[in-house]
Amino acid sequence: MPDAEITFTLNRRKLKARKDESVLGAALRAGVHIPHFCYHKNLSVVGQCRACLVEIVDLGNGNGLPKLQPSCAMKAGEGMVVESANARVKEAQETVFEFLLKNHPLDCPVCDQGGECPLQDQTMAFGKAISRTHELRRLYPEKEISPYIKPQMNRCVHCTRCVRFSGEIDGGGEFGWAGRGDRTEVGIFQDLPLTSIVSGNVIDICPVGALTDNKYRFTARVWEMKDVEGPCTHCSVGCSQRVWNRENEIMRVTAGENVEVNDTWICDVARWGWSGAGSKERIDGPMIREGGELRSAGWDEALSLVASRLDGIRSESGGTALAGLGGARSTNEAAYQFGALFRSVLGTNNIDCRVHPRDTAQTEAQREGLGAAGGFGSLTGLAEARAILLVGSDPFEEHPILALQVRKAHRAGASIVSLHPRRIDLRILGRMHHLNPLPCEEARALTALARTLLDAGAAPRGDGAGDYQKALAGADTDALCRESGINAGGLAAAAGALRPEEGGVAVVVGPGIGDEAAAAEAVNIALMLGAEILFASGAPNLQGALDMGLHPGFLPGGGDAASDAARQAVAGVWGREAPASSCLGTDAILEAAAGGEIRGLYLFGCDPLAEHPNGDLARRALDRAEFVVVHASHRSAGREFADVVLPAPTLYEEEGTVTNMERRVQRLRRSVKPDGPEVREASRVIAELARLMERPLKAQGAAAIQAEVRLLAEDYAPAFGRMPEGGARLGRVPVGACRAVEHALVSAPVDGLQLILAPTIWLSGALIASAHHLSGKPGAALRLSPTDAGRLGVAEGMEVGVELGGETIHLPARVDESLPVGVAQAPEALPGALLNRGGAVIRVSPAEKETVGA
Amino acid sequence: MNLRLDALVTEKIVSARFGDAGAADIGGYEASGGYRAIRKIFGQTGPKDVIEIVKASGLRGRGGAGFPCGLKWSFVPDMDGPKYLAVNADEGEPGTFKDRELMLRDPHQLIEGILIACYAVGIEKAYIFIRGEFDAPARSVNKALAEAYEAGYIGENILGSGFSCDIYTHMGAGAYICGEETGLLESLEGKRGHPRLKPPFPAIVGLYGRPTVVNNVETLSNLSHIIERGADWYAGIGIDEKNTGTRMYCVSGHVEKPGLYELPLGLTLEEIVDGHCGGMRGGKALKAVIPGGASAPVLTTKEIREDKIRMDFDALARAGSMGGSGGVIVMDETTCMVQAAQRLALFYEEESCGQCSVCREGTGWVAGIFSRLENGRGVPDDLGTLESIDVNMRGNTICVLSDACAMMFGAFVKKFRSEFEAHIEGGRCPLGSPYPA
Repeated sequence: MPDAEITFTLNRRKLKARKDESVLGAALRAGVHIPHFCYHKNLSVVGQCRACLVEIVDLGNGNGLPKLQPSCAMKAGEGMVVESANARVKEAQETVFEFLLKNHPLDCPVCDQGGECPLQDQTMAFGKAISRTHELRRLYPEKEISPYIKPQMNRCVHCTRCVRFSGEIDGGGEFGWAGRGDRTEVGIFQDLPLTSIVSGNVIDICPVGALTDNKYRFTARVWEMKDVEGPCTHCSVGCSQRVWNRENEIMRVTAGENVEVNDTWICDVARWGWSGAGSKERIDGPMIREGGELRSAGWDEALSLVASRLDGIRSESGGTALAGLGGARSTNEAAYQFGALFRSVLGTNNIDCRVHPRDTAQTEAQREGLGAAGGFGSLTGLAEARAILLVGSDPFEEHPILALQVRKAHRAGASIVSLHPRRIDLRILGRMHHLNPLPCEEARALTALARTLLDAGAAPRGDGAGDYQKALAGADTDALCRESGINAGGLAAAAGALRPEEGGVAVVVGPGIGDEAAAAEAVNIALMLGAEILFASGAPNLQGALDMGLHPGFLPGGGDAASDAARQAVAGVWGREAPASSCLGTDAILEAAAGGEIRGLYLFGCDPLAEHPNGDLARRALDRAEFVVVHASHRSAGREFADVVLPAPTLYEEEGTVTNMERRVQRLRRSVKPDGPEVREASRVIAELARLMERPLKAQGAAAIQAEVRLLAEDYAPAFGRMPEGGARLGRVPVGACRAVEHALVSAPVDGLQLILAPTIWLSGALIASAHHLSGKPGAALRLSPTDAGRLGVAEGMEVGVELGGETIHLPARVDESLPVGVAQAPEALPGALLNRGGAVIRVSPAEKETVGA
Repeated sequence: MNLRLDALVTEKIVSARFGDAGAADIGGYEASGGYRAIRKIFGQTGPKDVIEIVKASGLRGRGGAGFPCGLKWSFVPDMDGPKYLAVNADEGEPGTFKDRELMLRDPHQLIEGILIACYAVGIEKAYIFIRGEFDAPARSVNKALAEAYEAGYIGENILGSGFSCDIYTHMGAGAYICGEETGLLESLEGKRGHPRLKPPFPAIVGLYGRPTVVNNVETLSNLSHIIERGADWYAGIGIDEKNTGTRMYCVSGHVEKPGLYELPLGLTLEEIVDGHCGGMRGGKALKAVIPGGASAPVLTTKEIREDKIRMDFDALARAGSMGGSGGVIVMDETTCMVQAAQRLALFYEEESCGQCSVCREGTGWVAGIFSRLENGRGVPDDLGTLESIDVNMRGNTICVLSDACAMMFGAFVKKFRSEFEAHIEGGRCPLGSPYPA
């Protein structure tokens, strides 16, 4: 606790308060309950509900205050004496509850909030058990606001938490209030459907049953369920969530609390994405291809087949004829075993968790510039930054809670610089700079920014800093601006906002960055600014999988696979050799498989057909490979090439740990058992394969795996054993070296629209795709600028044909002012993976109208 | 108590030019001595000295609370950066119509007062927040502002004094609560007119987060006269040294001559009703008077005729009422007090901003009970319930609208209880109910 702590007296008990902390905040932390409704620790203070009135007996200067004061708005002061439970205060509290209940329907038996209702609970504790009203209760018209949220505004007590959440935290300001006096009505503007990606948080913070979960509605009572708190695994932020289950069935998800990650907020994908865990797309048992068709099989049969075929290929062609892909959507423990299986049992380094080339490009830039996989930033550092540089990151689309952290920093005064082809929307006014390079020209734009920062006094760091500085000094900012399409004036303003001399900058590299040069230049800038750098990658446990060695060049703990010493260290732990040969990454593995050199492919929780931008290569690779194992929780396109399908649990059903983008390791606790007895823990299945190949893995079970990991990745030690609440963030010394980047040739002006791909969180992954509760989200669309739309004769909502490389798909059009002229945007990972080519030139035309009827 | 009965001279100050149709024009205003006060002080008298003059005059706020004007100004911290004056011209208190006339008939007097206040506090931007319905007064003020800009009384380097000041008008949108000073500031900032939590007070954190003075139109209209004729002259008018100068009494209701009367502070209510207003209409008997706008607790005939209550800030406060906004509503023996209370309760229900639970639900509850009572559907418990709501609505909210409502109906129930009982027992209003429940 900081030194600026003060002591005050509440109900004759001495309490500590932080500087500027309210009496209510300090009391609640100390476990003294003062009733409240409008107060929420993560929202602004309005003092409206009047339930938290207290008597200030002494301000700390010998004088009290004559009127009762709202303890939410009253800062605790040194020597202050406060009463929250004397006769005078109790009487005031009783009257406030009488007023609050004046118009509140007593429909608790049919209200979902019943049993977890602050109004119900606090009325029992602080109210009076009589009603004196003879008037009719207030009735508002019934309204629909969203497929997710059921409004029952007759229950509203006008605390305005939802209004403040949407205005302050979300920023969309979709909730507001209309009317005056007792006709005041909380609602959304013109009753349009809510569009926020974090809308569901209003359900958690509503202190009554006015805003309840429409998907959970009438399905369970809170006392019938158990909740399991742990990290969400839909993206790499790792928000704390509470998964509520009843008799081994997930009923709902609510936000957990982790002040260093997500405060008390989660996104709607977390809140309703769990519904995919119970979908009919689940793989519910092992299958074997026989006569061209997949048939059900027993575990013994399937595993024996996998073990004998993989081991057979190894003995015939060597380990280099085998490769494993995936692992970034599994636990660290399963990822570790997956790596150990390939390296120590099958004798190959052909293993990679980075299915998408941008992950490869980014990790290679990290490896070169920072000497390790991953950044050295934190979400807390981001929220406390003085300035933030977002590179290829559109947080509300990709990592909604990251967006809230950026907004939090902005509320505290931070300036934001975004470098993205699109004018991304963080719903902020002022102190926001947009640099909009042409698609795939981010690297040039970043070099221009680096040069401008150099002129402003930022110093390159690390070995070779001099060379970098020389190269940078030779860069022509004007030419770079022209070639990358960014505005020189905007560049100067953005550099000014980053103010190299003041520090406190955080850099976020998002999934919009697909080439290594851009990622490397972002690393250079972070080093020059002494900034924290975060890599916001797509796959939820990419960082953990990399740390566990699912990278052709990295052993568990980050040791170089080409180094004898590192291999010996690993061999010492595994009790078996680590291979020196063949280090193929995903692209090379797919090429080799397509070329016939790789005969056996093991796809662990990934599907290159859906995830890799070169869908054609992925298809040829899977088609050509003799033996393909698909080990996954959900059906996907790659399954049609599988020789054996092994069911995997979702991360709702697994135990273990995961590591988020800031290298925070969090414990995952099983919320429910997998549906059906045929789904087994992934790490056990992998261990069983090794056993069947008669070279068993040394570590069996989570504790043994973690003990091995501690030996190899020493910094993981705090994450195992007694892990701190909220997880253990594994710090990393911010070292690295700037190095000059080489730019690709300037591309010729294009004839057509240049495509950028938006990796939206709710369109990614088979689990989310099959989450039926998420059905209300907007569908896939091609977004284009109003100018291009006008030129092409395309109107909002119109179906357009999108032609790329001779193939055409149809999508509805959205006219979007955030897109520059000449650029179109489509969501990533759409069915039809041919579209997954960022920067590709497409031709868009209005689809021919089919005449319906005669 | 040292009453200065000889100081109760009938002298018109702020309404002195009301009979002069030309006074609303800058020429007429200058011809009758206008803009002499600012010439006297700008560049001559230090701002701090101006504050001292106003303090010495004893001028108290004419908007409702009667807070000493000079003292309010002295709370504004001496700091760099913008400070603001917000002129409260959102005259919404039922029974009050003085600021309307002051703006309509003598807008330059207000402008000169604004300039004096700004000069004294070091303010360069003033906003006049005018009640939305005040179309003609707003036009009058806007015309006067244009004239004063033209004449160099507003703008850069006024009269070569080095002091600059801009004045803007802003029309309200019809909410009573925007007359509450922090609700007014929120509305001026473009938000819903929700009163703010205090502290901090506007003098420290006001408009756009900057130190702000909020003054009423009538208060400011007095300033040019105080500057010109001196604090001692002003302080010499009124019943005692804490109640100095005149007030604009807005007399409405059952008197022979309702209207706007500028009278020295401290006359008895009886003198105003029977003397200046020509007595009760048609010679009927007096029943009750609301002495300071709707929120001021009602006074009975006994208090007026026997206790001879005086209409100054402190005498009214001692009697459990208040001087408020100067709206004097006179009711004769034909008035149903339940109906009067119901009408006022409906007003507070309508005008509560809705943010505090106590006020939002309390005003509606009270209006509901009064409507039932007036329509003959009262129950014996109602009076006890009202008495406890009266207590519960006081002192527990962000602003005093809740208190105002409670003060209003609490006095009606306490002082005219028998009429309420008659409604409950008889099952109807003896005079008929114009506002059905």
